Amino acid sequence: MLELKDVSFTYQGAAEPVLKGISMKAREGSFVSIIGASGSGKTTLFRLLNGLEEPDSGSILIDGKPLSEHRSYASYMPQQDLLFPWLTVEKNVMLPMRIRHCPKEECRKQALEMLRQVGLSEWAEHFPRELSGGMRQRVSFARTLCAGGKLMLLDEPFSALDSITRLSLQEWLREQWAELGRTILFITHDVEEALFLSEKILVLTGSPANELKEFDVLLPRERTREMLDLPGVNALKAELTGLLRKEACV
Amino acid sequence: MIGMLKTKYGPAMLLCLILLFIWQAAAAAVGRTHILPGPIQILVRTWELRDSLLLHHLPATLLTIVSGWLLSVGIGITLAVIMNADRYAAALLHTPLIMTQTIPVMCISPLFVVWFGYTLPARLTAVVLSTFFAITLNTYDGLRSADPKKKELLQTFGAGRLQIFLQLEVPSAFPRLMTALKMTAPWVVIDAAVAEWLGATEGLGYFSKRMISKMDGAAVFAPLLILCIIAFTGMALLHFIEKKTAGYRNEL
Repeated sequence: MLELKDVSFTYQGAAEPVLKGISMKAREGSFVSIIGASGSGKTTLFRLLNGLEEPDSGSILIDGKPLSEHRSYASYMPQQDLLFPWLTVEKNVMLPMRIRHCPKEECRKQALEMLRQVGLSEWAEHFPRELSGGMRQRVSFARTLCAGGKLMLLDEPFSALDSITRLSLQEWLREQWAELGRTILFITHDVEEALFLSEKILVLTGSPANELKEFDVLLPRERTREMLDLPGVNALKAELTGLLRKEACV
Repeated sequence: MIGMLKTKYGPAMLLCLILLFIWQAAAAAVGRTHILPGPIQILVRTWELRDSLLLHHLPATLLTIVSGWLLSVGIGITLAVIMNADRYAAALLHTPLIMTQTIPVMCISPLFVVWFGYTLPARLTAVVLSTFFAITLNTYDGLRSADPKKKELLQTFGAGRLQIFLQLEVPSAFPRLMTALKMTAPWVVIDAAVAEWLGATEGLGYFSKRMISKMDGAAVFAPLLILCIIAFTGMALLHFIEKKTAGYRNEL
């Protein structure tokens, strides 16, 4: 289980902190979305979770132990696919494992398995430039899977895609999550996306961000888009949108 | 003729043919082959001198070109890597490196002959001094152009400094290095010839200079024709390698 206790963070040279006393919990195997207005500190939260930054105060605990005591606990998927154009799809997926000095053949086997998982095994020998935006994001997802760790940090992975691709990838991601059983933290600023995907939604509020307001999405694990029109979900959507609007004006 | 214009290299070939024709016509009008030989006279003279040019002088020049270029590439890349690894080194080296480029190498080349004699090191010094900087600068810029987001991504995978260098910075710099190689390829050929011109006992540059004193215009051009072919072949080869290996340039 992931737990943040009273975490504060200020960027070097900045007068104001970005995060001030943030606390949250995420159960193992859950799908949690984090939403918030632009510049509210969502990405900063991820940078703390994947070890790119260290909190000024407070603690990040995984199964009760500090983050620094875990090795490769979290894997990060950025907003842009950030595939390396000089590597084939397969080699891109192998990269995190190669960095951990995993033997080449084993890496290849696992990369192919992950590519099969994301439905792109026949593209293994191709270069990223030959793939569509949606396919590239799936490769990026496969690479994130190969980076290991029980926690996946997905930072607005679909925001750069067209709306049709985006909808189909949302459905695809839910299937992946159900199959893989990993914990997913998902940043988005799209309320509907958060409602469709997650079990729990956290809204980053305050300036500087000082609270993660928690909302449970009371929908079954097996869900369809039509369920987003149920009265209870609609009310939650209105509440979240209202909250985000208020935050954006602060 | 019209069909030629439609092919990829057709228009360029046609322009070359027209220019050669004008040259030949001008040479015929002047009528003094020892001062202004036409392309045909040059080709004939090159054929007559083929044994001496190809078997004796060409190997000497090729040695200067190849070893000078390898040395230049080696020094250029090493400096770029050092500057990329440490910003103090970059600050320290930047000004002296620029200073080396303000020196007109041709003017001090005779000094190299005084220091090293009519030897290969004298010519290599001239070649390296005038070419390494373009390689350093392009490679250094290429290494620094590595996407910081990709760098951070590698860090989240647990990559250290060396792995970031090998997995990200080197491939990011490679297309720029290819540009530098393409830029310096003709320079190396020219500089090698100039260095021979200034102080050597063999080589195509030396041969050309000797023919001036004999007032044999066509023979002055004959080794230059071979140098042109070398530079052109080198460029074509590099262009081919670049197409095969650095096609991702636009995606960086």
